[in-house]
Amino acid sequence: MTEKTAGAAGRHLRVALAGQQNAGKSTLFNALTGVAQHIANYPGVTVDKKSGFYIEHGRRVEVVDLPGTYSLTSFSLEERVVRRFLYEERPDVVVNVLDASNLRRGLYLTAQLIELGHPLIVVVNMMDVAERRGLKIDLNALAQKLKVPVVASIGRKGVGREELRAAIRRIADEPDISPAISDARLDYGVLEETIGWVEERLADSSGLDAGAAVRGLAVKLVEGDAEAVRLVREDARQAVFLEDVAEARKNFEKAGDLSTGDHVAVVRDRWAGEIVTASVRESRKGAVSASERVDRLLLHRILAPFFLVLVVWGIYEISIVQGYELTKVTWPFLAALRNFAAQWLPEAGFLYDPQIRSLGLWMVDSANTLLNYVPIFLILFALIAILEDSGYMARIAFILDRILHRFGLHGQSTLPFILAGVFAGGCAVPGVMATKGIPDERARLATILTVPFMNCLAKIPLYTLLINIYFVEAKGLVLFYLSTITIFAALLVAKLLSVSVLRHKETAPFVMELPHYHLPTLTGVVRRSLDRTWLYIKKVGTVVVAVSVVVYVLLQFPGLSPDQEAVYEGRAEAAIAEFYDEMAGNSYLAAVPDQAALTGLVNVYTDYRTEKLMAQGADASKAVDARYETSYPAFYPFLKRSSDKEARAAERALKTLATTRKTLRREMKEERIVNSLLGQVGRSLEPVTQFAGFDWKINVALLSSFAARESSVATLGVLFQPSDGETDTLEERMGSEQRAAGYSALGAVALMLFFALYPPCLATTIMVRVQTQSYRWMIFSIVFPTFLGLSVASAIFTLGGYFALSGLQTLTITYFTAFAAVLVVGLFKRPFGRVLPPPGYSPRGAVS
Amino acid sequence: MCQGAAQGVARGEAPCARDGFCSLNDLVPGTHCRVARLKGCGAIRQRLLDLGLVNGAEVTVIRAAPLNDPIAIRVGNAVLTVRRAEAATIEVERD
Ligand SMILES: Nc1nc2c(ncn2[C@@H]2O[C@H](COP(=O)(O)OP(=O)(O)O)[C@@H](O)[C@H]2O)c(=O)[nH]1
Repeated sequence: MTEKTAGAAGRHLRVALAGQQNAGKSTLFNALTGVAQHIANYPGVTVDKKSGFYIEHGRRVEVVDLPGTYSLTSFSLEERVVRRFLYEERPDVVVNVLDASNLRRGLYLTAQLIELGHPLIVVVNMMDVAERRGLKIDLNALAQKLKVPVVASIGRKGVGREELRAAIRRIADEPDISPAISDARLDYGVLEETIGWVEERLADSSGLDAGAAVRGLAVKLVEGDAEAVRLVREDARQAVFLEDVAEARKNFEKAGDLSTGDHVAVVRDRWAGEIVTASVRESRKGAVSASERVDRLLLHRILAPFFLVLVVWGIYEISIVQGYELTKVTWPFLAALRNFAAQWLPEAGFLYDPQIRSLGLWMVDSANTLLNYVPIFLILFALIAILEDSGYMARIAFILDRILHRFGLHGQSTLPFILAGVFAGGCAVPGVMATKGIPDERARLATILTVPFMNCLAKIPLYTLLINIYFVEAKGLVLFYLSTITIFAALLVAKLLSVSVLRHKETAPFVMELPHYHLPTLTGVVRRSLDRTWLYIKKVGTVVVAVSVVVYVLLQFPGLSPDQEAVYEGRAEAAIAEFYDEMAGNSYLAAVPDQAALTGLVNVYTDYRTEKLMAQGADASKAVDARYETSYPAFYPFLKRSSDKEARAAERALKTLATTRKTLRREMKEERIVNSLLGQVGRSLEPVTQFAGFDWKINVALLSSFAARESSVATLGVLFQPSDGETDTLEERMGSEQRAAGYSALGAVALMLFFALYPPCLATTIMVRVQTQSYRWMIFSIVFPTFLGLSVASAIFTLGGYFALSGLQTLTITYFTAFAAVLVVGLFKRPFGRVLPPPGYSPRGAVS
Repeated sequence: MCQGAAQGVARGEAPCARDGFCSLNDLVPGTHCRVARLKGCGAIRQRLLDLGLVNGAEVTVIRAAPLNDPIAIRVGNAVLTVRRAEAATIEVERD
């Protein structure tokens, strides 16, 4: 006690916000703390710990927004987190946020908070909603009954914030906190006797004051709460009487139809009901609420699916399609960043670039790939915040739970799948992030592990590439197959996982509140969107840049052998000599007196060509010319074709040289990849991957795509290079080379299906780690899909080859096989359907 | 009193076996009733209790989801959703 008193009177103050979901805790939290917020995890679990502070009269008040809960049992993760926080961290003040339009439900939790024996303030939020529904709340009566300060508020308008701060201040200014602890007592009737002696025994053996906290613990013990039993059992002196308590509980249950837990719940509910009767007047009883009227439409049995599809399509259209448009606006900034880095880093050599330059640019490119998606994420997260705050998200779960539950998933798995790209184009990273809200641990893990099967934005280029090579006549059909077969795969794998590795995970009943519809607030939405995007950048960005370095090293080393180097150097020297030959007698030769100046010239030429290509419109193109003319007056004649004869010759000579240099560099790059560690790995995997029809080049592309999916096409681009000129597109090159090497559409099907099932990219696995708090699941999320993808690809390639099927035939057969499997699992009950393994919790803890 | 999840309620069992008592699962939308007994155990039971489905609580069935499962019910001022499997563990008395 002394410790706590000091805490309250001192300069620092810790306030915890508790309440049920959708009571408006976050809104009040934002109103109290403003911008000073910090999101972390509670130790060892994935529950968000939001904390912030405000400073008032020189006192720093820390505010912690606890997860929303209805109760304080030990059955759900959130409730355990809240309990542990309240027990162990002992905040100075607990602020209990109630929804004024549903006081009875909220007071059920208040009863339990009172029994914890903290100084308590009750905030009755949503006063505006209550008023609209004709509820008149007598705050004085409420305060008298609860014996704690009561503050009314309208969170979204900031009404009541100052009153709440004042109430907190008053408690903090008291030299002694005991008057601030409510002495309201619930009368547990027939259980009172038992609770009484447990209380005495607890007080005796622990030396605690027989205050509210001891009574609360006694009630929990009589309820048979596992967490309370654990707490008491830690103290050997007390362990003996636990058996007496268990005995008393059994006797009670034998005597009647009720367990002690039921009885306690009934008493609390009745207590809440009595308080509501005494303090709330309802003038419009029985009227149909606005939410119900909206639900009659949005949850209409026939119309509901249409609205759902409309909403999902809207999200997709606004965030992915429009967001993609937006990235075209933001991309130039990222490109400018790259250019800036390119200028700032040491200059390129003729054949070899300084290592620091290549690495630097490589890192910038990797970071840019991810940053490029930021506009999409900002929109996506804002839309999701709107869906969540408005209350429609819970309805989505309501509509789809039936289907998803059949496959071991949960109604709330819908959103993660949408984000990850049910339609072609999404991203698994926000998908995995969005699994946070799923209350059922087993379904949540199944969702996390299957979300990466969806078609993220970065899988599309490879699909497009292969479809354009092999399925020109059936483009649409193949893309349709691919984007829907991934859903089948996700459902089947989810089912498989939940009856195998996830069998023993904790599940939760699907009992959920459908909150009343609310108009989301702008600040709430913007803040959530910014928070989540920032989390993405922070968590993913840093690691991706770090790993990109590793991939770089794997692709660069050991590099070229001295013999190979000598060959390339010889060819470069020949090209340079040829350039000087052609320039003999040309007056512009003065601009390149030595080799260093020549390298500089070639670099300027390359930059110039790139900028000219990027420049859109004649004006922009002219501007580039003008800039180069002033910056490089001596080089300019080499760059711009003009009527001057000598300049024309100079331009031609340089063009030849630059082209040769480009070819040499590309050949060297390929050679380097061939020699590289990753190339060797790719080769050594050939014996395994040959069954799927993958050669080492494809292996390397797949391996490097782990860092970021996009790079698979880029790597393939390097590996399937034209040996002369670059007239062919990558499609044509890959096509001709592959056909020459005996590849076929069948191989392409195997490759595409492998790519669909292939492990999540690095960024996603990081997010898996964050969301599961476990490296084991992260590793599983990599190993399992690899194995699965390889098996499927091998089976398809081998069987398809054996029966001499075409690519399209194979794909069609595979598609309908998967579809049939989904139907079998989904429609039939035993042995595939309904029966999910029993939940992994121990009923009512270890004691009953 | 606690019969272990949904197993206690066999599908074939006639609805409303005891006079006036049925499971919540058997009621059509629009019906009012009162909770008589919870047959589920553990987390499911506790969760139902915490959401106000205690003995004697008044419940109205509002609607079923488009695919018939889960159902939405009104308890007090709140609307809750429960899967049919869980609703089957809630024994109610019709008003
Ligand atoms: N009408 C009204 N809406 C509110 C009030 N306080 C919060 N809201 C809205 O209620 C929804 C849920 O609030 P939120 O703070 O996210 O609830 P939490 O789950 O308890 O954190 C949001 O859409 C808020 O904008 C209020 O006093 N009146």
